[in-house]
Amino acid sequence: MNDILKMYKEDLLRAILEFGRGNGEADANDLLVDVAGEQRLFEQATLEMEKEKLIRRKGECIVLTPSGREAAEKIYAKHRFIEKYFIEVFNETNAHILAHALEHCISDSLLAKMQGELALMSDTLNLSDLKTGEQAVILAIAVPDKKLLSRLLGIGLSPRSKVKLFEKLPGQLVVEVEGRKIALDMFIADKVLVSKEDPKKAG
Amino acid sequence: MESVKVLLVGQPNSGKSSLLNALAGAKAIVSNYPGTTVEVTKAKTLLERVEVEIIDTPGIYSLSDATLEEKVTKEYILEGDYDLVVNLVDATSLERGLYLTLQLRETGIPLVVALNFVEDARRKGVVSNINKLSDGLGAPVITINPLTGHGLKALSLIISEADKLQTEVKPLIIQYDDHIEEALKEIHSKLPPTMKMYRRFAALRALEGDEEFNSLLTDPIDKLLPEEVKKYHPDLSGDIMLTRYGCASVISKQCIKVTSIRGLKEPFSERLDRVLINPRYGWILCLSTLIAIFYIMLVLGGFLQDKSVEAAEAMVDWIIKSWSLTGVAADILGNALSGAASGVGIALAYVLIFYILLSLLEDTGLLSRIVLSFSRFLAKLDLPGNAVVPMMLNFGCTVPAISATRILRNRAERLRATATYVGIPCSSRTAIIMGLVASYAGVNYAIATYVIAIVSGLLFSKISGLFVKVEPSPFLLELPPYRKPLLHNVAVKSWIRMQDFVKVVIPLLIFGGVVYGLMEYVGLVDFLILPLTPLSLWLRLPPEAVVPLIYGYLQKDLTISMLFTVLGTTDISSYLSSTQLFIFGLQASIQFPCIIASSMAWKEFGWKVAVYLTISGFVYGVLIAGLIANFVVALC
Repeated sequence: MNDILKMYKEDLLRAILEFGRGNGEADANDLLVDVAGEQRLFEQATLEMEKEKLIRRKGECIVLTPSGREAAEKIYAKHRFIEKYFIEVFNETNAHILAHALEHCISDSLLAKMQGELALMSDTLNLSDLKTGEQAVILAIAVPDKKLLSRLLGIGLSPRSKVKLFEKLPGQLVVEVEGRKIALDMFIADKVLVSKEDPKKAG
Repeated sequence: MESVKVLLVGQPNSGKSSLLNALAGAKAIVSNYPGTTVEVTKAKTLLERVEVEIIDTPGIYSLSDATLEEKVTKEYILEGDYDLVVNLVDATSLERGLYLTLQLRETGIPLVVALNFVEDARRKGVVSNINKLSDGLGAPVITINPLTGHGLKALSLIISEADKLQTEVKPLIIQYDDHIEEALKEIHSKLPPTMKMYRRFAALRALEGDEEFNSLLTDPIDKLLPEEVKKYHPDLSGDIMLTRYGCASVISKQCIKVTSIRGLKEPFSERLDRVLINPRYGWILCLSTLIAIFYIMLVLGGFLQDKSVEAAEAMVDWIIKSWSLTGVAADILGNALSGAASGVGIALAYVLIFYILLSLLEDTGLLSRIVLSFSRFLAKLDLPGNAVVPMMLNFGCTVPAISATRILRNRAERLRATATYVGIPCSSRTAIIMGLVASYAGVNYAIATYVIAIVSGLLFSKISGLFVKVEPSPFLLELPPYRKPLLHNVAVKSWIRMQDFVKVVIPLLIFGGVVYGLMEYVGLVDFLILPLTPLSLWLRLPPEAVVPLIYGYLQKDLTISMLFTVLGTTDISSYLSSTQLFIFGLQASIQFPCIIASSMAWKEFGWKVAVYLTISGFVYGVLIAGLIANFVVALC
């Protein structure tokens, strides 16, 4: 039972993070549908998480506390990485589901090993991995919030766009895309996957 | 047509306000979109002998609901209360501009594309073929230049004949892949039978996760989607957006020719950005902006305020004398008129200068660099970078600075920015620090007062965070290319921004003057101040010195002369020690500055917030000034 609860709590945290990208609030009913489980489990999990000061309840809405956000980002990063790993290393179509299962039990040391291996194997980087002045082509934008994706596209950050890192600032990047300079934070930068090689030349 | 209503829609920095100015001049009025703080500019003008109302919607990157601006613009577009949409597109970044254009074309609304900055694009080696662009979009395209007037005649003609376009233009259909088309068909059939919007567009919006359109459906969208579609498109909305962007990219590539311009020296703007956007030198921009604004506000603003208030007060005296008024009427009218006079003084001296500076910074492209360099510092206060704009205005006058917080995203951010005004001195508070602390206690005391006040203000905002939480949101800011500002545009923009101040703040100042005049007449002022005199023990000041401190809340600019009056001399130094002057300066500076600022907070945030800011700000100032006073006494 404890393991189930732990996993359920982690799933919830990640879901609150994803649902709450817009205004920071996640609707409890949306969460119940997204993170399938009994009402009782949901109530128990949210109650415990509130006690652990990970979330706050605002009526029907749930908001992450700063420490809750940190924990959620960590799980979310794990999830994304595992998904990426199985797609890139094994070309696995069920990577998303695998990530759902593995994100709860993977140890930090194994994660680090996998990360090292993947970095060796592929030239897929995050925007924040680029050095100042380096050019790359955007491969994918992995933001969960579709409203943010729409804005990013409208500002010119889209797959196949050429991007150049103009400057690294503490916690922020300034990139050039479509001849425009765009400043963005690491939350966005980490979700923009780029390749230093031109895909046309490689393929 | 007899009259035409036109909606200007475009991405930020695409030149919408320049176009509005070129078409309608200074006749524009700013108003808030009902129920929001998003500002919308409207103007009426005559084009080709047809009466035209132009509505300039807030600049947006795409039609989603991510920001308040996007919601307002979407609302305008979907309400359909217009004859034509003019979509401004920046030719120097055509591809991404077309993303919004395609979204607009999919709605099926009558639309004309106005391509701006064509010369700039050509200078970068990008030449666009208008005919091909028009073919690709299925809508008329014209090139314009609001600065030279090029293309405005053609645009006016199209606007004046908007009814023609309404029948000609059909919605654009972007072909999505088979699964998405299947899903569209499915949703299409589930939409209510009669709709104001084009059905395919409504179905698309629903699939893209727009809550407003989802609510039109009987079942949640997930249930309506065929299993096959879900299997191939686990991220359906993302795939739709990416297809649309791909379409924009194809159209833009078809109609532009890029010739690389060789041997071009790195332009000055690039070298400037290397210094301004730099982890090591970026702070120089912050500091120099602060110092420049501070000096301009203080020196130029102070000079202008003195002169204009002097002139206005001479006029008030003249009016009272020539009408030969006496007694209550003279008192109240005198106070009302001097309220108006100080309003005009502040308006001319600080607000107009500030808005001219702001418009200049904005039109040159410097403002976003300043916002970027402040964003890291302000993030420590949970505030976004653009909070620096109202905070700079606060150096002039707190009252308009409260309404200027409207540029922030939400109430929580606005409250947190306003909370800094409890300590960051406005010009009236600076006048006390300069005129009293610096003159009688010395420059070092004045600097200390200034620094402590600013730090206390930032701290007060931070403490307010215990009650008003700001939820972090992703940071994304475009740094537009540097452009030479057009003085006419700057003047028009500043004037438009001034109107709010003239309409709201000056009446408040007159009202404040009348209320104060009445209170003084019936003796309410003394009655209010008396119970607070014991504060003198805690602040280690003579009891009568507390009177001007409280009085200062009613009329800040009279604090110093009131101190002279209660002490019965201008020889302050023999009555108050340097430390006491320092404490007096601190107490006068750290509080929500005056009754007019409180009324403004009331108007913007409601009475609860106004009372909270006023009372807790006052207590906070008493606490800090008193602690320092007692600490100094203990040391000696």
